[in-house]
Amino acid sequence: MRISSLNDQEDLGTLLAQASTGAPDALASLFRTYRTMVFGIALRIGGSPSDAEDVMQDVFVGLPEALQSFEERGSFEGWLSRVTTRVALMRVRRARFWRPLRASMESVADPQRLDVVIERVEIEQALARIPNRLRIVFVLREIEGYSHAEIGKLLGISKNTSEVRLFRARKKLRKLLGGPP
Amino acid sequence: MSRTNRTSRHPSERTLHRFADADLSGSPAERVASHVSVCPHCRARIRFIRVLGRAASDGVEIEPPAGILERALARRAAGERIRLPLNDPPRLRSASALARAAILIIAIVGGIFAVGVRELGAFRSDLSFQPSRPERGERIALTYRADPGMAEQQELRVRARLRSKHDENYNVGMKTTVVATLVRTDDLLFRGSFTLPDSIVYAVFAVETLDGRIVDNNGRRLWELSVHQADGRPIAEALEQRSSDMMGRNWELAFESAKELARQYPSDPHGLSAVSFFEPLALGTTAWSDSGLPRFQERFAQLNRELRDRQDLDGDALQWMMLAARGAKDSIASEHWRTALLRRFPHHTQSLQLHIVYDILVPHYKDTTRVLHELDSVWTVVEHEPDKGGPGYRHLVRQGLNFAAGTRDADLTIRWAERFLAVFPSLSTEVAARLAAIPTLRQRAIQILEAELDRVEAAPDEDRPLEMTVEENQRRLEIPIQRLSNQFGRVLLDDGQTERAAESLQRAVNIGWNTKVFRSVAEVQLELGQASAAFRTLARVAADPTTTASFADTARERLGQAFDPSSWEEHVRTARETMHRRTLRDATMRSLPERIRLVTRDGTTRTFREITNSRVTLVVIWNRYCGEAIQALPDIGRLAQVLEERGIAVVIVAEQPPSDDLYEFVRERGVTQPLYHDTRHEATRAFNSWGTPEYFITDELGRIRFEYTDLFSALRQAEALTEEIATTEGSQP
Repeated sequence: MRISSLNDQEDLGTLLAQASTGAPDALASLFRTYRTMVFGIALRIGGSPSDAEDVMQDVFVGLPEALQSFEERGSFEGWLSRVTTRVALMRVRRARFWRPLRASMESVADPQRLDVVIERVEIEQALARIPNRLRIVFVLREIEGYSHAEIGKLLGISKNTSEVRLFRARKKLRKLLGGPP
Repeated sequence: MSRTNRTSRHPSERTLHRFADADLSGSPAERVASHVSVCPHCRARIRFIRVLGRAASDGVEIEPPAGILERALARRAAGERIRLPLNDPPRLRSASALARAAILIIAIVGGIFAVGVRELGAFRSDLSFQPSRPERGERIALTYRADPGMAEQQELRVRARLRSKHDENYNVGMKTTVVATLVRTDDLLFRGSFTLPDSIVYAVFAVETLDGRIVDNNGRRLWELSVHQADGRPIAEALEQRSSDMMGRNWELAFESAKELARQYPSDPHGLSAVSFFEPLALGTTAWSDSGLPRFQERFAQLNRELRDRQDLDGDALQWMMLAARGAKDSIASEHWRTALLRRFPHHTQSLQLHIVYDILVPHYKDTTRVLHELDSVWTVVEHEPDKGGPGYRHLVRQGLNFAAGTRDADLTIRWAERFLAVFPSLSTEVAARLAAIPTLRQRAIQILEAELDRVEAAPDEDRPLEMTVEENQRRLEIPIQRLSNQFGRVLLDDGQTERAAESLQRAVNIGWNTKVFRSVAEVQLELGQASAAFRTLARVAADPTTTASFADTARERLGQAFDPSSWEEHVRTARETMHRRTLRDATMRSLPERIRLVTRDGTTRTFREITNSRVTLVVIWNRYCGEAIQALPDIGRLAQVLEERGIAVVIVAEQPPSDDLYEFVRERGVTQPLYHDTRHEATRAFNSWGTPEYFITDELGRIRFEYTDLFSALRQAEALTEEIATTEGSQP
């Protein structure tokens, strides 16, 4: 679990209340606790460290006002994860309008290694090389644990499209990672 | 099919993935399981899918780079606020509909002023039409997937600029109208409908709240609807009107629409004529490019051969052939079509124009009585024509009013003035100026100006540009109100109504900021003996950054003994504060992404922030292939020099990559500043730039403070911003 220092709901509630007023100390505390989660989501969805930095900055600039709408009944981590996901998706969408998708795909792994344990770092590298629309579905489903119905709602696509994109993402990753033909 | 066969056949890719995800159950799952048990290939694939999923979700933590928190806190400390998306975005239909930025910003700076919620343009809202290719007069169903800024609304309205066949170029004087109310049917989904009037061929739309305080103008692109033929092509008139609507908004699209007209209707001379009209405009030249003319001449010659002996062409077709012949520099063909038009359609608006110029003005322009007699005859023939659009009618009434006013004959002048108003109801102030010069008609001039002032002050919604909110429109109207108040005051003064005149002139001074108006008012104030008022007004002229330092001498000369050197500087300083305050009322605040990469001439990549280096900056979004952008170059060069002398940076962003030709091209037109090349489109995206040239002013923190401004206002705005920053810094402990 990512949260180590804020398991106490009462402490978290106090911290969130302080952060909602824009108190820098409270924001810094939340940043320290959730930084890897927020950055990880932004990076995996956006595929670029610089975009992920911008997303992360935007999230923490907007967090105090957003917290005023946060209902304590839910998990803060889940809420922050969803908010970060949406901000990152918006950035990708904006970029998609202007930028061509990544042009070519080359294998990043030895095609003979059919049955090796897939190293995480290879996955990160391969993920960054597949088209945005496929990577996003893969990240949301396999890493963030969303269902296809939730992904459909989040991305404004049908559940069926989400499934198809996941298959295609895996297919591309299989090629890149030298998986079975 | 036997069980054996089913087991031996590979499941589909999708079925295999669903099996791997445990999303398959019952007999389909059993069938795959049976197959996998005997198929090493599929087994390997399933294993891969599962290993991949586990490895990906393994929880590896990625440490963000240092400094992110500090930068976020600094942005907050500078007053920036971002509205994060707390709801899922609406479902969108296409990639192209996903363009706009995501985050809404509220900025409050130093308690000096507050600005409304601004969009960075997150996900694009969408207004769709069903049918999307309507025929004339069809009922249109509207579906609007809302911008998050509209999220709290239950009802919205759709405003439109509806164009019929004869509507004019540009959008000056074009009315807008509410065509439909949209009712919320889903989270961010609104629906409504309207019937397209039979006469309408093309329309553009914006969606807004019922009070007009929030407008979704689709990133200033608006939404478009063209009337189509049964065969699915947009009708020719729709393409023509699209070109007209785009003029001044986006010249490239205006040209595109003309080319589309020529493509879709190769036998329609209007397309060819429109291409010849727009190409030089799009290229920023006064004539054809060397390569363009022969191509065009060839196409014209072909069409000329096809149509030359046709007797069934209407007046418009003859007109376009004549104009296309001129574009092709074919004088023989031009004369042929001109003669045919005059003979077959003598009342066509283009025929009127030709008749007025070649048969009346050219031979008789020195004989006012003869000209007026001839023009009167023309009017008598055409006055009952229902449609008085086009150049001929405009020319007729304008020349009639010019010649009549020159005689100073009240009867003649008022007669042509009323005719002019019948054709140009929106140009009443032009008529008033003519009437005011004749003492017996001055009351009519006062009446017209009073009515016009009332009309403008009432800010009728039909005159509000589609792109603007009610508040933005109110600020826009300050300019005509100031101009009208000045004109009204002067006419009242001539009429001996000095008290009302002074009141109106004072109003002109108190609204907006225009040195031309101030100078004019000061002269009148001096005539009225109001020396101290004139002193204050002239101090406003002196305060403007476009006024030279020697203006104090001019003021001293005009004011004579009323010029008080001891308080002059104080008055100028106060006027400058007023100017800054009024200027900053139009300011906005919009954040830009941390990293906007631009390429320099030598191919080096630099970020916008590195280039501006915490300076107030004029940003020019410029395009080599936009006539308006090219024509602006000399002014851009001059202004850039002035701004740089005052420590204000200028960043000219070219949409083209660097090349020696490009640098030579801009240098020849007076721009010696470096260009920065937006090869990644990051700048045009960040600034939400649609047409060119567009001007923005950013502050020392790299935020947009004046957007879509103009060169005339840029110096004053940049100076006001610099002053604001200096004041804020000075007040900090």
